Amino acid sequence: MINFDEEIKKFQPSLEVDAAENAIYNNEMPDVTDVINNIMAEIMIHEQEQPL
Amino acid sequence: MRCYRCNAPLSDTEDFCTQCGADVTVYRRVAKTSNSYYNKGLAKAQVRDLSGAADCLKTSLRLNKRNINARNLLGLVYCEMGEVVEALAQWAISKNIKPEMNIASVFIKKIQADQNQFDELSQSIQKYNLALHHAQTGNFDLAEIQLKKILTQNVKFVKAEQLLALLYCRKEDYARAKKCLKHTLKVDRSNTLSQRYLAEIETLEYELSKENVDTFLPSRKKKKNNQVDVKPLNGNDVIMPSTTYKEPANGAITVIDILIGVVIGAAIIWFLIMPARLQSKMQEYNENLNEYTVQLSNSNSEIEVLKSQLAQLEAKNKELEDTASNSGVSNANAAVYEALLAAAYNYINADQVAAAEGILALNSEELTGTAETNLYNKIKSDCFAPAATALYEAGEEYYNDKEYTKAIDSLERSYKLNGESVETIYYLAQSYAALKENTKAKTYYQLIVDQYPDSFYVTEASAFIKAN
Repeated sequence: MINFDEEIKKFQPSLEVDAAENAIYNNEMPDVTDVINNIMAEIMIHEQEQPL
Repeated sequence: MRCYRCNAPLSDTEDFCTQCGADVTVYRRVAKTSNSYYNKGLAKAQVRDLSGAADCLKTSLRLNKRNINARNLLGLVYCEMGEVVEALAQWAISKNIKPEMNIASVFIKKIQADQNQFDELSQSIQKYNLALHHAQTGNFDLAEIQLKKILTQNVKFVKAEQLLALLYCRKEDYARAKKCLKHTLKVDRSNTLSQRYLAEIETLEYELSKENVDTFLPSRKKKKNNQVDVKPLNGNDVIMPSTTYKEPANGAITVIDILIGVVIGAAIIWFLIMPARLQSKMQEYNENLNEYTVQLSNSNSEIEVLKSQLAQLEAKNKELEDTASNSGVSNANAAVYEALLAAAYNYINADQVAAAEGILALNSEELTGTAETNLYNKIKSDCFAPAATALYEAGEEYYNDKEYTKAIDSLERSYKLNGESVETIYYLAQSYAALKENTKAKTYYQLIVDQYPDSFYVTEASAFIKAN
C-alpha cells in the first residue's frame, strides 16, 4: 500500500542552476584514498610520539 | 595510475611511488575497486538501468574521487534522467580535476550550445522543486498542474514523473499513475521506486477488480461446450434481433463516402446557397442602377435648364448687337474710333510722327460723325508735313551713315506722308541702289524722270535707268 505522506518525504529537491556553484565548491568530500591517507598520517604521528 | 600524493606516474611493478616514496599498495586496490564499480555502472547504463548505474558510479567516486571516467558517466546518467544541473556539476568537477583531453568539456559545450533549451530545462527543475513544495504543503492540484507543465518541457524528468504518479495514486487515478510510471521505466529501466509503485498499483487494482466482480456481476459458469447460460424470458424482456451488419474494413469505401459527402455538400451549396447570394447581388445591382438612373435624370434636367438659359442669353446678345448696329456703332467702327483717339492722344503729346502715321492708317470713309472727321482733318493737316520732314531727315542721316535699310524704312514712311518730295524719292532710289536692289531703285528713278523732269536729279536717274 502506498503511503503518500511517507513517500512524499522521500522526494528530495533537485539541484538548481543557482545552487550549482556552491555544490561544485562543496564537493570536496573525502574519498577512501583521503581516508586512508589520514589514517596513515595518524599512524605515523602516533609512531613518532611513542618513545623508542 | 598516478600517485595520490605527488601525482607522479606510478610504476606497474612497484608498490611505492618512485617520486615521493609513498606506499601505494592500498591505493592501488582502492583504485581498482573504484574502476570495477565504474565498469558495473557502465554495464548498467548500457542497458538503461540508470538509477542502478548512478549508484555504482557514486560508489566508484567515493572510493576514488579522481576517477574521471566514472564522474563523466555519472554526469551523462544524470543528464538522461532530466537532472541537467547535476550533470553539469559533475562535468565541471571532472574538468577541474583534468582540464586537458577531457570529454566533459565536449558535454558542457553541447549543453550550452542551445541556450534556449538549457534555460527551459533549468526552469523545469525550478518548477519541480516548487511543485514538490506544493505537494508537501498540501496544494496537490497546483503541484499536479505544475508537474504536467514540467513534463512537457523536460520529457525525461524521472523524479517529476514519479511525483506526479504519486499524486495520481493519492487521487486513486491508478490508470494515469501507471502510465507515468511506465514512462519512467522506459527512461530508467530498473528504477526501484517506479517498479515498487507499479507493483503496489497492480496489487490494488487486482484487489479492486476482484471486489467489483464479486459484488456487481453475476457469476457465469462456462460449460464445457462453451454454451452461454440462457435465462428464461418474461413479458418485460425485449428481444433484439441479431444483425449481420459489419462495418466495411476497406479504406476505399471510406474515400468513396467522403467523395459522396463532398458532392452532396457542393449540390447543397449550388442549389440552396448560391441562389440566395445571387438574389442579394441582383438586388444590390438594381439599387445601384436606380441610383445611377436618378443621377442621370438629374443631370439631364440640369442640362435642359442650362440650354434654355443659353438660348435666352444668345437672344439677348443678338438683340444687343442689333441695338448697337442701329445706333451706328459696330465693332469695326469702334476700332476706327479707337485708332482716331490714339492718334489724337499722340497729337496732344506732340508726337507728330505717331499721330500722322496713326491718321494715315485710318480710313476716313469709316468716320461717320462730323466731330470725328474734323479731328481727323485737323491732325492730318497739322502733322503730316512735319512728320514727313522729320522722317526724311532721319532717312537722309541713315543714308549718309550708310545704314541703308533704316534709311529705306524712314524714307518710305516719309513718302507715304508726303509723296511730293523729290528728295525723298531720290534718296529712296539711292538707298535701294546701294543695297543692289536695282529693280526698286529703278522704279523710284523712273518716278523722278516722269514726275520731276526739271529736277536736279533727273540726269542721274536717267543714267541709272539706262545702265540698268
